[in-house]
Amino acid sequence: MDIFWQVITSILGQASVLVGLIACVGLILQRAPIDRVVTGSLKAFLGMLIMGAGAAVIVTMLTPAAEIMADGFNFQGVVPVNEAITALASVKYGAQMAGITVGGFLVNLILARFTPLRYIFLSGHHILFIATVTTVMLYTLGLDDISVLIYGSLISGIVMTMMPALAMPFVHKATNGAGFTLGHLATSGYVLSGIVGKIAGGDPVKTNAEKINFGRRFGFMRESLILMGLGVLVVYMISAIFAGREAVAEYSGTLDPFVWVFIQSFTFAAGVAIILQGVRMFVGELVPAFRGISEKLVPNAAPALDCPAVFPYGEKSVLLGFFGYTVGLIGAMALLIAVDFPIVIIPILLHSFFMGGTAGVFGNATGGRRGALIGAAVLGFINSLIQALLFGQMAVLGFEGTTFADTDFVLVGLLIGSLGSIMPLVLAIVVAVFLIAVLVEYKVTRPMIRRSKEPVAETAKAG
Amino acid sequence: MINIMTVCGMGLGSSLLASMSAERALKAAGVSTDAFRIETSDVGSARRGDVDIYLTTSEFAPEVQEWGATVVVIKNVFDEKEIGAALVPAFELVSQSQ
Repeated sequence: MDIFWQVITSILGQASVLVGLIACVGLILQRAPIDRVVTGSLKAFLGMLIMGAGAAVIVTMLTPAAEIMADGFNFQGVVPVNEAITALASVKYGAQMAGITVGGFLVNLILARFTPLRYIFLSGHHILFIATVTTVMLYTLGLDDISVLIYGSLISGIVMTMMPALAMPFVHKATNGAGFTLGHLATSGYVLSGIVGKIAGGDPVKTNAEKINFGRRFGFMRESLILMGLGVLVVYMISAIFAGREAVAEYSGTLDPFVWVFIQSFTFAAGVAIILQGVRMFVGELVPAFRGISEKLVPNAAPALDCPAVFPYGEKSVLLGFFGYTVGLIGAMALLIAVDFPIVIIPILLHSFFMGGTAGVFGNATGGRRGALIGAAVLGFINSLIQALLFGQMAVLGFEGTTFADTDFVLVGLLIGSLGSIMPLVLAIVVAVFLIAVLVEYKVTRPMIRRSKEPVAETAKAG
Repeated sequence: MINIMTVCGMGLGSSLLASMSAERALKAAGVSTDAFRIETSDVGSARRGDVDIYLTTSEFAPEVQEWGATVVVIKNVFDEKEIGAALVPAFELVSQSQ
């Protein structure tokens, strides 16, 4: 009997095994052939193991980096990379994260089936990240495993349903009604960019960013790993110079201290590359299963997709957003240093591309080129400040030098972190935003979609 | 066996969606699942010798087109019809030349 329980707890306690089992169930539900069930389950299992291996690489890099930065300046440098914090968290909380990934999906499915918000969230990596942020923040409250699973699934699932609904009017406008919405959990930031664009921007038609001709000189900004390495390098090298050769030499062994810093900076990107490969493997098994299940249970739902889905509809806006976000980010960094804040967000430019680019598309939809630039700049500034705040709140968990990046993760994290002792209040706030999303659905989205279909509807006599 | 690779910024979201749509589009066109393989990748590590067709959006097309393989450029990663219309002819061309 003891052996039996040991087997059971080993399976349920090990995220890798658990994720493999989840993938297995998903594949069986899709009636996949037996060889696909076996390889798919093992691939998901392997993906989790690879993610853990990447976490180890990142930790060996971040631990001395944090000490050297503290030596050079009086701050802790934090690299906001969802993949990194998720991989680190999975070592300790992996099983709960896997549970909430499935629980959150189920809540999304139920809400999409029974409420007016018929949106199915299909960005697998963001389902994992929202599960991670709720898991770690709920554990900071000292809750038991069952409460963490229930609250985490509820909060994740509600957020994954309401955010796509809030993004829908902007996406509809930007894509001319392509029929999808965003499933990218920086949506509160994108909505902010859209609103700022409306207030501070110009005429969205006359000054549309897509009319600008930039040429093709900006290929560098799509190389996410290179950007990440370079961003870390700049801050790390400056800190190392200030810390002094001797201080760095304590860590660098036989290598020249500055050569070592150069290698270490790109070791971070290398670790993220490993994590990405792992995430890619299990997300690639989970998302088709989620999609297959949701198509059966919630027909005609609108898919909520990863943010680059809107990029082909606004290439120039993406570029403006990139620059706007970067300016905001550097402004936030300067402010954090100026007020002697103990945590400084390292500008890795990764988010300038993804979040900045999407903020640019939203800003352009409401305020043309000026809307794209200013909207993204405001988001870059605010987002970097709240990332630093969240890192401070997570400090009790002892994660080194990395934090969540995207606005919704950060806001959900801060919400649980600051008000978690009154759990009903947290849930009430989340539900209140959900109700706002329902209001947006009825008052904005549906009339908008109806209007865009009008000429067709007239002949079809849709009533 | 034709190797297809879908490419996006991180190789996590859009490329996975495009790969699901591509798989459905090819199946709908009557292509046997044994005749192709689809992988997803980020643009930084997608350049490989064994890929026959790259499927990507206009965002990444200029880079991918420099690598020499057939490149199919799409706009909506979730639109099976659009992807089918662009991918199936390219797929048939590549299969004939093999």
